[in-house]
Amino acid sequence: MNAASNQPSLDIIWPRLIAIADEMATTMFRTAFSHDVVEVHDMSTGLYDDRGNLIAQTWLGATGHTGVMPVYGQNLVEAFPPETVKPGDVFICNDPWLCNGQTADVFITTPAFHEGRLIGFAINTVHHVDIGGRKGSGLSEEVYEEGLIIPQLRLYDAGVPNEMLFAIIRRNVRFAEKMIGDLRAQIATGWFGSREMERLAAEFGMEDLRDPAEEIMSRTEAGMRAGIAELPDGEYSETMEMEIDGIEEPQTLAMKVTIKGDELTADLAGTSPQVRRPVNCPINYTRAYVALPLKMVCDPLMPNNQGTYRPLHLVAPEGSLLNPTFPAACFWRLAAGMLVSELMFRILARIAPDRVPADSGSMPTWQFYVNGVRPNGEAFALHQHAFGGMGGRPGEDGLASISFPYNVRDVSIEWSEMETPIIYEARELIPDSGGAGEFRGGLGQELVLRAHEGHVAEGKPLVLSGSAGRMRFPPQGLLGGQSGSFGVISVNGEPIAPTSSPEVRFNAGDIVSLKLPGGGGHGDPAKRDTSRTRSDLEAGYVTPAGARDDYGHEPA
Amino acid sequence: MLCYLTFPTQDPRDAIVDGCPSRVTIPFISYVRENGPPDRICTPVRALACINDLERAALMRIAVDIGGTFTDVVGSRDGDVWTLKVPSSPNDLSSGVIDGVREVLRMSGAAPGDVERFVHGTTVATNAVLEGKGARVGLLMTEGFEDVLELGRQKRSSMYDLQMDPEAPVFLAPGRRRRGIPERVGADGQIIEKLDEARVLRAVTELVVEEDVQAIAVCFLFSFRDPGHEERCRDIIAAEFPHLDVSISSQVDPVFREYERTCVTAFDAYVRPVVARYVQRLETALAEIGITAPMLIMQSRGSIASSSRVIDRPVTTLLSGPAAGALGGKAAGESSGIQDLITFDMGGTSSDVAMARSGRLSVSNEGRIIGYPLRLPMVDMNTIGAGGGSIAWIDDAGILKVGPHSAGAEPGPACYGRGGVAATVTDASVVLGYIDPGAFAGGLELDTAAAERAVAAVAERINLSVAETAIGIHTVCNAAMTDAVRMLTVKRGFDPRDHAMVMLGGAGPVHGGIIAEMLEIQTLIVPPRPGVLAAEGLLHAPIECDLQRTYLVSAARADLDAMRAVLDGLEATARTRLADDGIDETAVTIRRSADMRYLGQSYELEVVLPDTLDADGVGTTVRAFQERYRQVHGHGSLEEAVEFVNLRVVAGVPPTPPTHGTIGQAATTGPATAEAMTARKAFFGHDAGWCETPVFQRDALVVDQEILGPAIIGQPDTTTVIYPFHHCRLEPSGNLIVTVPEVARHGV
Repeated sequence: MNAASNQPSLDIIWPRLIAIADEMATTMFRTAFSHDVVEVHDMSTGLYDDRGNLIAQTWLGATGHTGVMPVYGQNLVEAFPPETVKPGDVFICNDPWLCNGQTADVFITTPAFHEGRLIGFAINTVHHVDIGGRKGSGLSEEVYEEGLIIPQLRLYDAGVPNEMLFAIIRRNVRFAEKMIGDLRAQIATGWFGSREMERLAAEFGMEDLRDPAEEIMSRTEAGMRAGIAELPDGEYSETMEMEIDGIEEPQTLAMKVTIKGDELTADLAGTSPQVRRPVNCPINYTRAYVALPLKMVCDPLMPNNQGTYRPLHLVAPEGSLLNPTFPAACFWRLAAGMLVSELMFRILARIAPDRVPADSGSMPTWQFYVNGVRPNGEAFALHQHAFGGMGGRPGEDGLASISFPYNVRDVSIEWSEMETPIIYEARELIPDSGGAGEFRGGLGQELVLRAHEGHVAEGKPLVLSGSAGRMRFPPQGLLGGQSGSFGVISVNGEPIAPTSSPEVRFNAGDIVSLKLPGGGGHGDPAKRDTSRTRSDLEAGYVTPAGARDDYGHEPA
Repeated sequence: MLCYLTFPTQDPRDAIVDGCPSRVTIPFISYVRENGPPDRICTPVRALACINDLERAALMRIAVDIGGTFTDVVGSRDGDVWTLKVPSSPNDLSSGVIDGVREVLRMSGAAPGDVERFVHGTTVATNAVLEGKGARVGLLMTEGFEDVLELGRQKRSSMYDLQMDPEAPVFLAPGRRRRGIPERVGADGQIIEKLDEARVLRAVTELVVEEDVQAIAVCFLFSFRDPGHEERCRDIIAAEFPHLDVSISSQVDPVFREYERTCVTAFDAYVRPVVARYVQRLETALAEIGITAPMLIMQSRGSIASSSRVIDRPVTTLLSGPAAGALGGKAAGESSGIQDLITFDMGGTSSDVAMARSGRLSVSNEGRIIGYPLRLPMVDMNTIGAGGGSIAWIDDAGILKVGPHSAGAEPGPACYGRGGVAATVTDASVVLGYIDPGAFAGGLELDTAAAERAVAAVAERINLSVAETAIGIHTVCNAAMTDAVRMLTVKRGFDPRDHAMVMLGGAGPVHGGIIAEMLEIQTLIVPPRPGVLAAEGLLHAPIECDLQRTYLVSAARADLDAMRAVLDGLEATARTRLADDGIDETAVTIRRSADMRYLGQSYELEVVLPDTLDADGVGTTVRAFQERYRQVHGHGSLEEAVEFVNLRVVAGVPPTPPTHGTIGQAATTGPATAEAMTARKAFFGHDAGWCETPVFQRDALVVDQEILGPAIIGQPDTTTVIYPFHHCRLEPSGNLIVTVPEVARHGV
C-alpha cells in the first residue's frame, strides 16, 4: 500500500488484474460452443501491458497454454507496432511457431485504450474443435497437413469484421458452426477483458500499466530467483527414449541443466533431429514444459507472468524434435512436450528428491479421437482426454487419475454419448496400478468403449487415434519406489503394439480398452506405514495379493 | 424517549419510558456471556410504541435463524418486531430454538396458539457436511462407473501446487461403499440393458450388513432421460429396508454430467437422515409448547418451503445460510423503496455479495460447498475469503495481503485479548479509531494496545506508519470486496452504479462507505440491525415450489402446444404441492421461464415467458433471449440457432412487503436533533489524517436527522463509519441512508 502518494498500489491492481483474467475465462466457458472449451477447459486468458508483457493470467486455464502466453505477447507487438493498433481491432493467429506449437490453438487479441493511448492487450487462446487438415492423424509428415495456418492478421479492423478471413476459416474447418462459435466466444472474452482493463485505468487515472507491470514482473522474478537459488549449483544431465509410430529407432530427448546462483539454463543438445511425424515440439511449447516443473518446485503459489521466465534460459538445437523448423508436423507435440517436463522432473528429483514426485502416469496425457460415420453417412468424432496416476510425492501418495502437469478436464461420459454413438462400457480405477513406495503412486484408470450398434454405418470401420505413452517404459519410482503400471491399449482383449501415437481400427461389436498407467512410487515400500496399506486395501486401491507382494502385508 | 432496561429484566412490557412506568414492546438484543448463565447486558434500546392494551387477536410470525455462534429469533406482529440473540446449542440445536421461541413469546405477550407462521433457517445440513457428521452413505452406480465420484473431473484447482489434496468428495462414499449395478440407459433414453433387480437387493444387503450404511444414493447414467431404473431401485429398497433413506439422482438433480449429478445426489443422501431427524424433533418440541403452525424452511434458492418438501430434498438447504442474509438485505432495501440492490454481508471469515433486480434475488445453478460442486438453485452469490477476522500478511513478493486465513472466533483478532497476535481487519479498525473498544458487540472489552502491536508488526515489514498500514489493510480488504461486487454485477450485464448497496453483518457498515466510493455507488443502506438481518429476512421470504422439465428442442422445431402442455403440467403439480402445504390457492402467483442457449452451447440463460404463449410465443422468447445474451455477454448473433433446454415454473406466494417498523425499527420522530455523545480521533487516510470524529449512538438519532462525515454511529451489533464528505440521514423506516458524493477519487 502506497498511502503516501495516494496512487493505486500493487496490492489492489495485481489481484484485480488476475480477477479480470479469471472472469475472462468464465465468460469463455459460458459462451463457447465446443466440448474443448466447455467440458475440457483447454484454454487460457491473460492481460498484457502495451509492450506485450504478460502481467496477469487466469488460474483456470490449461498449463500448456500458460507457459506459451508470455512469449506470444512479444510476437504480437512485433507484428503490430503500437502506433498501428486501433480501438476495435481484433488480432488472430495460430502459427505454431508464434503461438502454441499446434494449429488447433488459436490466439485472439483485443487492445485496451485509455484516453486514446494504447495501454495493453487482453489475449486468450483456445484449443479448437477443428482447424482443417487431417486432424488428429498420427501420420502427418508436414504442418501443411494439419490444417489452416493463420499468420498474425486482423480479424477486425477498427471494429469492422474481416469477412474474407471469416469466410476462409469457415470453408476450411469441420464443424464450422462450433469453430466459429468458439471464435466468437473468444472475441467476446477479449472485449470483456479489454473493457475491464480500460475501466481499471480510468478508475485510477493511470496513463498506462507500465509501472505496475514492471513491479509485478520484478517481484515475480525475485520469487523465482529465490527458489532457484535454493537449488545447489551444478550441471545435471538426463536423457530419455521416445517411441514414435512408424519410426524404427527410438528417438532421444536430452537435457542438461546448469544452475548457477539464481539462474538456470536448460540445454537440449543431444536431442534427436525432427521427424516426419506430428510429434515435433516447436520451441514455444518446449519452453512451457521446461518451465512448468521449475515453477512447481521453485515458486508454486506466485501468480504466473512474464517475470517467472526471466531467470530461465533455454538452448535448443534448431531442427531437433524439441525445436523443429517449419514445416515440421507438430499436431501431437504434447507427446514430446510432456516428456520435457518429465526430464526436468527427473533432474530435479536428483537435485531435490524430497521436493518432487516420482514419474507420473499422467505424463504424457492420453488424448484421443474416435472418428466414424453414422448410418446416414454423417461423420462424427469423439474426443476425450484421459489421465493416469500422479507419481508418489514426498510425504503423500500420488493423486489418482489426474491431469498433471497438464491441467484440463475430461469430457463427461454423458456429454460424449449425447454427441457421438460411442458407448462407454466402463471407466474405473485400476487396483495395484500405482507403483509401490513409502508414498504410493496414484492409480491409473481404464476406459472401455464400443460402437453403439445400429448407430454407426455398417461396414465402415472406426478409427481411434491420438497420443498415448508409457506403453513400453512405465513411470519410474523415486528414492527406492517401484514403477507404476504400463499403459495398454487392447481390442477384444488383444493388446496392440506399444506406441506413442496409436491408430487403431475397429468395428461395431469390438471392445476397445485403454488402460492408463499408474504413477511411480516415492521411497522404499518397506517404509510404508502399515495403516496406509490397510486403508488402501479397504478402499480397493491395492488387492490383497498386491499388498502381500509389494509391501509384505499379510491379512490379519 | 430513550428507555434503558435495567438488568435483570423480568418482562420487557414493564419498563420505564421517559421516567414513567409503561408497557412497551421493545426490540431487544440480549447477549449471553460465555461460560456462564444467561446474563443479559444492559443495552440501550428504543421503545417502539406504548401498548396499553395487549390484544392477542393479531397473528404472530416467528422466524429463527441458526448461525454458528448465535441463534437469532425474530417475532413480528402488526408491525411490531421483537428480536433476540441466544447462543446456539451445538449439541441439541432444537433446544436452543425452543428457548428462543419461548422468550420471544414472553416478550411479545403472544400465546403459542397465536403463531400463524414459523419460518426456520437452519444450518443443520451445512454443519453435518462441514463437520463430517452426515450419514454413512452407500452409492449405487451403473456397473463400470463405480468410481465416478472419485475420478471427478481430474482438473486441479491449484495449477502449480505439487502438494494439493484430492478434490472430489470421496468421503461421501469411499470405494468399499460403492456398488455397480448391471443396467444401462442410452443417451436417447432407450434401455440398453435392463436393471438387474437381484443385484440391487444383494448390493444393498451387503452395504447394510457389512458397511452399516444409513442411506443409499443412486445415480445411474442417463437417468434424467428415463428415471425408471432409479425409481425401481428406490422401491426395492423401500420394500426390503424401510428404515433406509434413499436419494435418487433423477429426483434430486435430473440434469446431465454424471460427476456433478452424483455429487449432489450423494450429498442429499448424506444429510437426509440428519435433516429428517432434526425437523421431526423440532416439530415435536414446537407442538409440545403449543405451536402448531406449519414449519417453513429456508432453501438455498432464497425461498421457503414446507418441512415435508424439504425433507424430500434436504440438499436444497445446504447453502441456505447466506440466502437468508441476502433476503434480509433485500427486505431492508425495499423498506426504503429501492428494488435494485446489492447486498453485502460481511462476516468474520468471509463475505457474501448478492444482487436483487426489480425486487427479485438473482438465482444461479452453480453452487459449491467446501470446494465441491453442488449443482442446485441457489441465490447467485460471490463469496470471498475476507471478513473482519481475516489476517493481514506480507507475501513473498512483498505484497500486503488480507485473508483467506482468519483468526476465527478463537483466538480471534489480537484486540480480543485472547492470545491472537496476527493483525486482522478488525484490529485495523480499532487502530484507526473506527470501533469503540469499550462498546463492541457482545460486551467484549477490546485491547487497543494489542491491536496496535499486531498492526505494527505488519507495518515494520513494509516501512509504513501503523496508521497508514491499518488504512492499507482496509484498502486491500475493501478492494477485494469491490472486485467481488463488480464481477457479480458486470458479469451479469449490470452496472453496479445503478444499484443501492445494503450493508449487513457486524463488520459491513464499517467498510460500506469506501466500497461504495470505489464502485461509484451513490446510496448505501444500513438497516437498523445488520447483525440479525438474516432472521428478519426469513419473515419476508416467498414461499415457492419450483419445478423444471428438460425440453431440449431447437427454437425452429419448438412446438407451441407441447410447450404449453409441459408448462401447464408443471404449474398444476406446483399448485397441488402448495395446496398440500396449506397455502391459499388464490394467493399463488406463477412465474414461467425457459432456460435457453445458442445451439450447442453448454450454459443457459433464463428467459421469463409471458403468462400465455401466443402464436408468436417462440419468436418473442427467442428475441428476449438474444437481448439478454447481448446484455450479459456484450455480443450475440441474430443468425445463430437458439434452443430451449429446460422449462421452469415457480409457483409462489410473494412475501408481505416490509412496512415501516417491521424490517426497520420505527424510528423516533421529534424536533430534537441528537447531539454526538462523544468524540474520538479516527484516521481517514493520508489527506484527511487524524480527525476529531463525533460519535453518535444510533438509538439517539431522530428521523431525518442528518450527519455529515466524518462521523461514527455506534450500536450494539455494529458500527457505521460515515467517511469524510459522506452524508447520512436516518429514514423513518429506521434505515440509515448514506449518500456518497462524487468526489475526486483515487488521486485522479
